[in-house]
Amino acid sequence: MPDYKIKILCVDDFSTMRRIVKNILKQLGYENLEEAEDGAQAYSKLKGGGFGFVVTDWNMPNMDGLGLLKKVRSDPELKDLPILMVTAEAEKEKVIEAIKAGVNNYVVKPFTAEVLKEKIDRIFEKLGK
Amino acid sequence: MADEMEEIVADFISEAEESLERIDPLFVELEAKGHDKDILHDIFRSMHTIKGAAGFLGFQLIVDVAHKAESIMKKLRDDETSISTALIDVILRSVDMLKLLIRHLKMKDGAEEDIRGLLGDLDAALSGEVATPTGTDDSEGEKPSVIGAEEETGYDGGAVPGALPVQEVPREATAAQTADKGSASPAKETSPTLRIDVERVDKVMDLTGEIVLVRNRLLNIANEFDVRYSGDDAVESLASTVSFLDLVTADMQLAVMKMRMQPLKKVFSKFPRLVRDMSNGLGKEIELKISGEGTEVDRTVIEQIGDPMVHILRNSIDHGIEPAEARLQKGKPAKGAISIDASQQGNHIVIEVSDNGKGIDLGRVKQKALEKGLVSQEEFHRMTDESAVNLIFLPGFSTAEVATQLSGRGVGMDVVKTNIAKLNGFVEVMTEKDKGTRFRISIPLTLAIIQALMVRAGGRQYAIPLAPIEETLKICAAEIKEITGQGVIEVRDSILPLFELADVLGCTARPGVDARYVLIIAIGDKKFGIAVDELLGQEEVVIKNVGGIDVNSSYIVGATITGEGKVVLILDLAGISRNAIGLIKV
Repeated sequence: MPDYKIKILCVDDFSTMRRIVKNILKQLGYENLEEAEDGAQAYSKLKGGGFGFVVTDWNMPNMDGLGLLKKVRSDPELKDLPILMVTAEAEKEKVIEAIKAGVNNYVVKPFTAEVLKEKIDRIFEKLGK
Repeated sequence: MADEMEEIVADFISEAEESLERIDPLFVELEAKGHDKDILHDIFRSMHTIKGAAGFLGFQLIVDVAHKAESIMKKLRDDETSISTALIDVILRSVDMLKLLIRHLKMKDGAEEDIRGLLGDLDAALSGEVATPTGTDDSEGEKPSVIGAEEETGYDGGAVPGALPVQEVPREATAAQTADKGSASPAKETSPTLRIDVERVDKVMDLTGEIVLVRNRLLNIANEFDVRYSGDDAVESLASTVSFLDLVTADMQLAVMKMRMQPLKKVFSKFPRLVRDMSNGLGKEIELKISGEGTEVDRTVIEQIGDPMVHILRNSIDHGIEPAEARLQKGKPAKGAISIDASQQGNHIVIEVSDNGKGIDLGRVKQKALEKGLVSQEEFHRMTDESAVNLIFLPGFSTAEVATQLSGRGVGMDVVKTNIAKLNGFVEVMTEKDKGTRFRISIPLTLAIIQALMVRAGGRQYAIPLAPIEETLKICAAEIKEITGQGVIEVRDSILPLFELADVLGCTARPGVDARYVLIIAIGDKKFGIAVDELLGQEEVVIKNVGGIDVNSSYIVGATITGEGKVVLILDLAGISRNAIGLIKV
């Protein structure tokens, strides 16, 4: 059983996308959802503490998803935070870059609730081991 | 759930529109600057984001167009191809198509567009078939497969319809709501913002207007009490409470006014594209300079000022700026220039559109006005250039020099004037042969509440907007002189035309008193006097629209309720200046 109480941060510069992602997460039963407009804002929110999971877009102004990922992984307080990257750029080299930087999983948009559930469940499964 | 979806779609529409509007001028900047990685990436990201969200919502046509345009932007960004006008053209066409597709969503008209032609052109551009002017296209032929591969991997995983039940959203239910949201879209700021339905803000604005009126009445009543029972403690405290209310109301008014203000950038951002497309079409080279786009104006102004400005710009591009050869012959730089400057001057917003083209041929303008019967033979001979230029604003006027393209569309400069007058503003034009033409638009900062001078004329009370009144004088009837049938008055060595307000308004009742009060009015470069029977004092008035009055011919912009609770008409000085006084030159 996943923990539906965890606080999830949805990061995207396009507010419609944040709503869509939050909506899907709500469908899956997650309720404690917050959002950020870009990597920089996301990072400062994460530093505020209490977050258990991050769903972030790749392409954003100021700090992109990869930048956020690297920053989180290099921060002693946040380095173990699970991150799911939302991407439309399914080019191999890019995903590999994210995997190297320590992303827990990635999902190609547009995705369904089922696909997102599968990805999230797999992340927590792995972490639980 | 269905409501949530409707809201998401409405959000998508307004956010996507905002993005597209924002990137429009970037293309023009790109053409000017050449390869600029930041701009390219910015445009790429907008396309990418729109595509992503549209994918979730099942708007396949938007996905298709955005995807191809995005791929081209990516190639440009990654130096796989070079910028050319042809390439930018095809991407701009994609932007237009996206706008059109989004408008269909907004209108819920269910209409579909045939995008095959555009997609074909985009494909051609992607594979490097678009003619590039420079010889840098050697690398292009080899790489089209990269893009093709991306397309497949990026899109085969999307069994989209299962994701969100977009198609089930009832079509007509949200039409009004969506339309509102679309027009609300405030500019994105770094500080946290709140999107509020325009209707709610307008409601607050309306109520604030009512409070202003009540405050005015209270001030009057408190004054009366003060006169009758001065020294009474209760009256003293009433007076001080009311004066505090006065202050707070003024602050609130300002705060609400600011709530409705938006930067002119929202309007100006579409002009670079307009100038580019039009000048390319005419084979002219024109540089557009914009300054002061951060100047904030009322939302109504944002909505209404676009069309008149487009008319003026079209005129400048089409008829003002000469073709390069003609310019060179006159010793001017081949590239024409148009500049748009906006600034706040006192309680007015001034927007100037100037070009360095050939100017308006005033001789022709006068001739045409005579031929069309807009001026009499006598007026024709008496008319100076300054007055002649204003003829272009007359309904029914159009010369080849001024408005061929516009007349083809069934509108002329008179529409420009009327639209600006609707905002209580006025437009002036200054032109000089071979130097250029400058249009100056002045609009009051706020539309709903103005300072007004209360006057009495012909036995009735009127409110006159305070801003254009330079001074008031008390004279006796004997000081009014006449020159060729026109009443004039001498004010500190200058002779100004003088009008009886009662005559202008067509009232007959005239008191037989000797003392006249004269308001010296300055509108644009015109100065004149208006004589009234009595000055009653200054008051802040809330303009309420009056049904059944033709704003263009009645010299009345609206009505207000005074501190005494009386309904008083508010006069349109710009209209009076234009119609009653415009053609007279002393």
